[in-house]
Amino acid sequence: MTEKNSLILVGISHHRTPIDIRERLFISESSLLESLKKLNTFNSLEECLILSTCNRVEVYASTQNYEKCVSAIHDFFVEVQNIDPGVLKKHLYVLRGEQVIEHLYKVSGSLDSMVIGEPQILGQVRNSFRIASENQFIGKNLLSLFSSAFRVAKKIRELTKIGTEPVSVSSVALDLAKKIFRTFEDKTVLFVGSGEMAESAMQTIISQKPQKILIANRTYAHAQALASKYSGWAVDFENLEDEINEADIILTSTSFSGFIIDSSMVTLALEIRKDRPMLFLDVSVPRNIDPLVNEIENIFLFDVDDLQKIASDNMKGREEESLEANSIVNREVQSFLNSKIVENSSDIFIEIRRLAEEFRSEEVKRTLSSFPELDERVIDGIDMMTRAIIKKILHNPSVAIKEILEEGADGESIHLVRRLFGLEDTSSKKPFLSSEEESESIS
Amino acid sequence: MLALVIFLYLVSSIGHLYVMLTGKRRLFSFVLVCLISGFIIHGILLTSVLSLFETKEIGFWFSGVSWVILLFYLLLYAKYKEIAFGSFAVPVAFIIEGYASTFPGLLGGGSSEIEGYLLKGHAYLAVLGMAAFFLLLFTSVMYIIQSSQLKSRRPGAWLHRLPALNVLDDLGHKILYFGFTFLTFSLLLGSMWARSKHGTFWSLDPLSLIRTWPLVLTWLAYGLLLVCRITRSWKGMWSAIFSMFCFVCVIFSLLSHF
Repeated sequence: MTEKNSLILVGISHHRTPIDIRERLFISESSLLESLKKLNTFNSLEECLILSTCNRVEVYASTQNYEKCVSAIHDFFVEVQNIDPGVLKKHLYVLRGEQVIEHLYKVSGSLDSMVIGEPQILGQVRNSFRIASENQFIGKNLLSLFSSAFRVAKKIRELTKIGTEPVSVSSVALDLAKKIFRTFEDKTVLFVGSGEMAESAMQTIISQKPQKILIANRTYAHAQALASKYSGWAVDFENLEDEINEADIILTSTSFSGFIIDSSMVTLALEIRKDRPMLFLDVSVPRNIDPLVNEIENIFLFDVDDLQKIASDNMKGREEESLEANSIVNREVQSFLNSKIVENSSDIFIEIRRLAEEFRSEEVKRTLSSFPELDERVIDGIDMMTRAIIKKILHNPSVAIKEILEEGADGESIHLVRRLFGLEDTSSKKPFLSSEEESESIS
Repeated sequence: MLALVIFLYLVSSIGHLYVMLTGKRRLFSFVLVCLISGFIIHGILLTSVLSLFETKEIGFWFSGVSWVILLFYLLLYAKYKEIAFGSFAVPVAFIIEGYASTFPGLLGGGSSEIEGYLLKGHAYLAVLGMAAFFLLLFTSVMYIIQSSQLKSRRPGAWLHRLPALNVLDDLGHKILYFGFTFLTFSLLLGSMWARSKHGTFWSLDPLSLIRTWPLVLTWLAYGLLLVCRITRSWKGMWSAIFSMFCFVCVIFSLLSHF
């Protein structure tokens, strides 16, 4: 990597761009390769990657020419994605150097997502990286950046509880069901009604492939339609009392005013089921299940308020965990920058030897000019002797520097070594930066 | 040799009960090898006594009954491959053979060597049984905590740290099977030892009573729990609470040895 190489990120995200703009800039996975090729027709970027999700469209690049690169990405958005430059100007952001590293770590670790801790983003980043990498758009700068981002994301998942607890009503319902039954392959679920609230929870539960799906609706034809859609069985709404004993999980969502399932029905069902536990999820308002049902042993009832409260508590928990995750990101950014400084310092020996050789040859030349009568043999002898002295003097420091580097030197020690030998101090310069490192909007 | 036969019959009995109760035949070939090995050694022992000596003691005849029961079972198994008969026949054969070993005689029964093995078997199995009941206690406590969390409708952090309720219930059920089986065979070996040592299955001296009865009570309590789980379908919370009461008996059994 040369010193002039700079990491650049140009993009838009959910933080300041509404969905109508985001969807216009969105690039589907199947079009990513084509878009990468088009992007390169604007200006040949040394390395580039496009990350496109429903929350963000970002171009990561490593280039020697910052201005041209930013302008190429801007033009790409305007022309290929067909968006007005005036509109784009309001939303587009540009990050450079260290900020790109920090941003990517946060994105991969799901700290920058709309729902903090959501698990999909890491897969999306990996996918974008795979497509760019397979098609030679990734060089050593983006390779080391993204490899470290995947490692940091893993670390965040391992060291914090950021993605462990669900934050949507349907995923909370599924989570609770899994804490009662663990798996669903031998379980029967009964859906009563098909209110709007139930739709997402229904699909989440069905995605777990329960053994049997029963659907009850006040309109039998509607139940039949849903049953055929989800490969289930329609049951008679009027005879719900006879059906609930078969179900392990019951989700109710009707507009019926009053309780359609009460304690006596559940007690009877439990007797028939020989006390096998049942989970009731009542997502209807007004409620469809008598709250007293929860008093019965081996029966678990959650209404929509319970589910929403758990979801919001979990969200607060994720926000608290994100503080710890952010400090991991900060530490990892510093560690990444340090590793780059050390990497750049691998040629420190060559510099020291070159400097020593410069001094030696100068001094030998000056000394010999005072003794023009010396013959070739003596001159060669002096030359050899001075080389040997230099070699011996530099031997111990060279071994020590090698050891320091191998032990994992930080920027401080590299800086100190350079100072000791009077070398030009490039270690104080942050890698991936060519000049100023402020984020800016396109102007 | 007699001790080896009893040991092999013990393993076969536990194996047959395991296969019968769980329906898993994974280890059955090993169990069958143990049983046939024991049966052959047992046969050699009986034949040697039969051919060498004129008079036979009562222990010999008991031992013969045990061998014949197993002979019938093995013949039936060879023809029908049915294990159900064996899950009764093998434990019964083990009990009769163990009882036979308490009579002094040419088979080697009633000797201090046999008594030593019976006592060791009793102690080791009791340890396994007690360990299983400790594990059952842990699963019951976890079940009660997890169930209470879910019942509260505002589960806390423990929700994700503990396993699902059906996992805990299922685990508890399996542990109960094993614990109860180990304790049952431990008590059988203990009573065989008592018969050999004192000439009676139940010693009436105060120390033996103090040590034996808590163990018998433990056996009764867990037996009742097992029966209720199987016949009355006690699931979940009730089973967890009752197993905690049963554990009180385990504590008494342990304290009685101090």
